[in-house]
Amino acid sequence: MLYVEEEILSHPRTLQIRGRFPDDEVIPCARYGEVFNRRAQSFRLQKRRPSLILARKHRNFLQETPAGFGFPGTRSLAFSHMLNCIYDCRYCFLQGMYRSANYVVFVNFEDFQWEIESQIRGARGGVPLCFFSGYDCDSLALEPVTRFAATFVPFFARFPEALLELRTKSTQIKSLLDVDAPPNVVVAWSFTPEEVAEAVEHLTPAVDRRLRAMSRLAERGWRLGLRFDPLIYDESYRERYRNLFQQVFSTVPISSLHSVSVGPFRLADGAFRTVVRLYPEEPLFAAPVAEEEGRVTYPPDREQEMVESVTADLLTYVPREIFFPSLSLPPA
Amino acid sequence: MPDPSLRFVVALQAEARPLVERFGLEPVAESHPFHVYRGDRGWAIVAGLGKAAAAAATAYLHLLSGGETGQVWLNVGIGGHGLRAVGDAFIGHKVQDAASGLCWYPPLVVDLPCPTAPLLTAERTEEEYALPWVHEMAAAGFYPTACRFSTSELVQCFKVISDNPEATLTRATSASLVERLIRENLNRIESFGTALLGLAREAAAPAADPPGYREIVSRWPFTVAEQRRLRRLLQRLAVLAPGSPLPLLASPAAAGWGRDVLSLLETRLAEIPIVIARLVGTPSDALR
Repeated sequence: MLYVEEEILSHPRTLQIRGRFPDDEVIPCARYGEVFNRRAQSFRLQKRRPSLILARKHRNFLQETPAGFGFPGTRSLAFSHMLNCIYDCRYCFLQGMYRSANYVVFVNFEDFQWEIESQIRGARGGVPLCFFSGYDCDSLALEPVTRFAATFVPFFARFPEALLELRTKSTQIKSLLDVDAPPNVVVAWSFTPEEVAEAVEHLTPAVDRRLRAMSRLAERGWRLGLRFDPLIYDESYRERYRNLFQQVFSTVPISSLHSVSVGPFRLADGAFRTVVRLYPEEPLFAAPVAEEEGRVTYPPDREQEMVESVTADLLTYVPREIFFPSLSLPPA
Repeated sequence: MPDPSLRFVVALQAEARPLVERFGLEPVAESHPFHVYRGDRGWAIVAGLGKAAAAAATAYLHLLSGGETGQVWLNVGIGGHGLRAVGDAFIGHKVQDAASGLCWYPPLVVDLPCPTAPLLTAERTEEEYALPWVHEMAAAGFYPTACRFSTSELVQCFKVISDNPEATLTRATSASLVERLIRENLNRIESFGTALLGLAREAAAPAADPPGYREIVSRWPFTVAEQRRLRRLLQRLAVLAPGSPLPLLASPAAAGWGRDVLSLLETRLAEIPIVIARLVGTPSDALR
């Protein structure tokens, strides 16, 4: 099923996306909220067969990230051209965010760009801006359909004073291989150890396939990011992360890395309760957790031990200058 | 929680008859404001014509059938269409109330036995089909009402075309024709209902009591908050040590109060290693 808001039925990006699904029935709706996230919807059931909804975003194109997130000395803004993710990572806050598992794609990229450009122009001579994509969705996973990166990478290339991070677990890099790598665009991949990824990151490309994609971009001069986020605990976590680092750094050249981060497992308490209600049988949630200030984390001692040991192992591979733990706080 | 079952809401007795036969339903003997049928596989209610009747019958059946949420609700009936042949069947992907303009979009997440179409619910029978939709009289009453009792993925409308510009209602829509149209689509209705029942079981699974829960709450006193904690501790235990016996059930004297039970379970959980996945190259029997 392809749901389309009536006012964008003839938007060029709508027509382009519809062209990819010629056999799908188009169901017009007045606003995407009629279909998405209404009461009496089950995220778990819809995740079996999500539909695509094309919509127009009207306001709030950019969101300030919480204090402490981002690169030191910069101002961080997040934006999402899409709501929900085609992957099914059990630790992700999106599992508890919406009642609906359908994908909403905002087709009016031009309005996002207008807002981004005015922010960049307004910040000239002041604090540099960093734009983060990939929190309410994966930045590249639906690239063949949305052409998001194909549109936004050339756009950001016009503004070398601003930085764009595309955060992803995807291997959909064709759009990136088709263009020269702008120095102000960072493509950042998230990783958990291979066995953990297989257990809790459903529908995602395998770790080695992500690494191959990174390697290909490195060869073409792209600046890359590594986000070991969230750190997932189990009895063998140290060995798992050591194995992961060995795997990663035997494939990805250090010289291609723009930034690296490590982030503990965290969910807002409401999101945690929702996701446990959805998947009580999930081993990830059987570990002991602590609730503090509206957030659910591993107990503080365990979290501290994990962050310290994983960071120590990581810093045997990467220089401290490109290690930014503040890139692993959730922005919203 | 009982196994989910089907709830059919139809307008006419002629629509109910084939469903009653196929699903082995029997009339409910007591006097009711609606004709009601029940059996092992579910319930059916004959609402009468119109969206208000459909809404009332849906709410009535919900209460009469025990008030359990998470059941499968199907509005089965006939409708008119400007372009489609008599006998064609459709599942509604959109329901619009012609009077108010309100819309609903039933999420379709199982394999469908027939094409989908938008449904337009009118106050009275129409012989002019202004839109290429299924024109009918019940869905906009049925759908929002049933969605109060079940998640919307389990609430669906199945419509068979009974009239079109070549075969109008006045000439064609006898009770025997209506019965035949539904009867000819019984296999589709049954396969759709079966798929939705599978979905209902999946939706119900996370809310099921974890092993040992009922026995424990019947033996020890718990506050409501303690019952929530108990449920979660037992869920975690079932994940981390599936099938392992609960020693406190064998020697109940180990705990005097509900909070002692919680404390024992927490101690037991703390002893179990957390294993998210097997290390590559590790045999599975080395996990614990």
